[in-house]
Amino acid sequence: MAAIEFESVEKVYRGGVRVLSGIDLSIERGELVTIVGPSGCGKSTLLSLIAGFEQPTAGHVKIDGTVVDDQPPQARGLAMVFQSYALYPHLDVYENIAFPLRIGRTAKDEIDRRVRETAERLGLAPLLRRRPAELSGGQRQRVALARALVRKPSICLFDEPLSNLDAALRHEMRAEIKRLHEDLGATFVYVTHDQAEAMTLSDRIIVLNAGSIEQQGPPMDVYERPVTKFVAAFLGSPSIRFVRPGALGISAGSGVIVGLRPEDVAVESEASNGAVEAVVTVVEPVGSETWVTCAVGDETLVGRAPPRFAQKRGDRVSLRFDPARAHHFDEKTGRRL
Amino acid sequence: MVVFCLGPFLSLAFASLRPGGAPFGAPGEYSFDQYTAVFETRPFARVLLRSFVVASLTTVAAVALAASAAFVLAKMELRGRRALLALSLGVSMFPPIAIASPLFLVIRALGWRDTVQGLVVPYTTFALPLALWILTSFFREIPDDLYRAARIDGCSPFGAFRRVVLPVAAPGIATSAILVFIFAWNELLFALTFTSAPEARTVPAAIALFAAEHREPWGEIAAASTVATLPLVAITLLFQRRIVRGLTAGAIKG
Repeated sequence: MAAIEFESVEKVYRGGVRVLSGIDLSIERGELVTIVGPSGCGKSTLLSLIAGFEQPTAGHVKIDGTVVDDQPPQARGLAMVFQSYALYPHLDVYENIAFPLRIGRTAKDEIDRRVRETAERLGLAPLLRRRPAELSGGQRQRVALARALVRKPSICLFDEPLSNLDAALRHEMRAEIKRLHEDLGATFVYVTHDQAEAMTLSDRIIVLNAGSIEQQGPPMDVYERPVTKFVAAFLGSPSIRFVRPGALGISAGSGVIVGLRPEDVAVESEASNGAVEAVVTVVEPVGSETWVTCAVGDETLVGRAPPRFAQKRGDRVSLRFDPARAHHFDEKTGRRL
Repeated sequence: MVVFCLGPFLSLAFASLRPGGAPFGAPGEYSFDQYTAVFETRPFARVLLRSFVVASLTTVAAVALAASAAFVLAKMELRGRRALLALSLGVSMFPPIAIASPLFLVIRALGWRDTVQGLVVPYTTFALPLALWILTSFFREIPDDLYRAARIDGCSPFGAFRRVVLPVAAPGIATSAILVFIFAWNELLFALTFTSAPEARTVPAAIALFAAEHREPWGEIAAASTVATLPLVAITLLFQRRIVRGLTAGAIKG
């Protein structure tokens, strides 16, 4: 049975702003689903509807097969990790983690056992008597995780939990969340605007755009076969570039636009047969490789070059790619052809 | 700056210690005679107690009412909450003198003259807007996520208010409590209008009526005023310590 279901859910705010329309969605038990999209696409609203902070204007939300439209948040038995951590500043780490158990009237020694066990799991044992204000960002995030997981929830919601952390810590916590998911077997619904997070974490990606689901599926499937230009552009870094097929010598009908991911375009300094001539405009070495932005006629493409790439702005290069790796889209509708 | 603020109070304290109540003049001749006079010849102890009861009850009533209202105004979706806040401010804009007379008729009709509730109820009405504004702004500063986290963790709206919003807003509660207490302690007009028995008076009303027909007992007025100021100072200091202790309680709890 599905853990969470949306049945043609609409959400219109007072004043008529439509944030979600026609959302049909089913999240299986034990799945780790990420909901991605640019800001304002409705992903946080989607999470609020699951949590019960907001009610759908039309349609239904179901948890474990029961319609929960009228259930307040506290009756839904979910856990949630917030972007701002939302730790209780007047309580120490121990009491923060114990909070949901105390509200749930768990027995005292059971609370103690579970708080210590959870703190141990997240490396918080030495910090139990600290106040949130005395913790670093990463530690606070761990406390927020511990508070969410101490109740052993069957569903845990994440609202951009890592976006306030620096890059190294974000990487570490991402791995941690993935490990916790595998250990606990709970359903995780994870909202993020960071496509890398979505790619690395999830069993399934749901791409949201302007209030409706653009595409969903396993990360690599979505990455390799984006159904729209929007999805293609959203996933992958550096992002895909769209060019007119004529500029690359690809034959395609009129009204077609071709997308090529940077990693599928090899930048070579010597001209060779079958390659496309281009002029370097930007060189970005990232250590393991170099991303080279090139002008092909009026079009722009980004390609990959070896780490120590000698060419500079204005130099001539040639681009090589496998035409089979090109994504074809309808120029007007943006849909995959 | 300090001199400017404390000057009047210091001259008052000096006056209270000198016969006749002249703040400046020849040195010497300081005594506590006027303090004894205030307490022995007048029912000043009763008046102090009365003032304390009235001010405390007003504070509790106003802060409790304002806190629940402010929570709803700050954290719940409510149509017309701006209008409500503006309206509450409007209430506090009435010059008290303009409504003292009609209010007197109401108090008399209720038979509340010379009673504690005869002062507490009107004081609460007037203190409410102030407390409401202070607390609404304090509650607004508490992030919505904190309230939402409490809800997710199993609290009802009221539970989240009691267990999370209220403790986090403790400094705001203390601030509004002090201000309401000071307002109720110092209020003169209603106290004069709604009381007639000497025992039912609050401190400002009692002091105002010290003056006899041909004699202004400045020394005794000064002594009584000094005594009346001390509770305010004490309460402010007490609350300050409470605030600090409240914020550090968890850090040292074993």
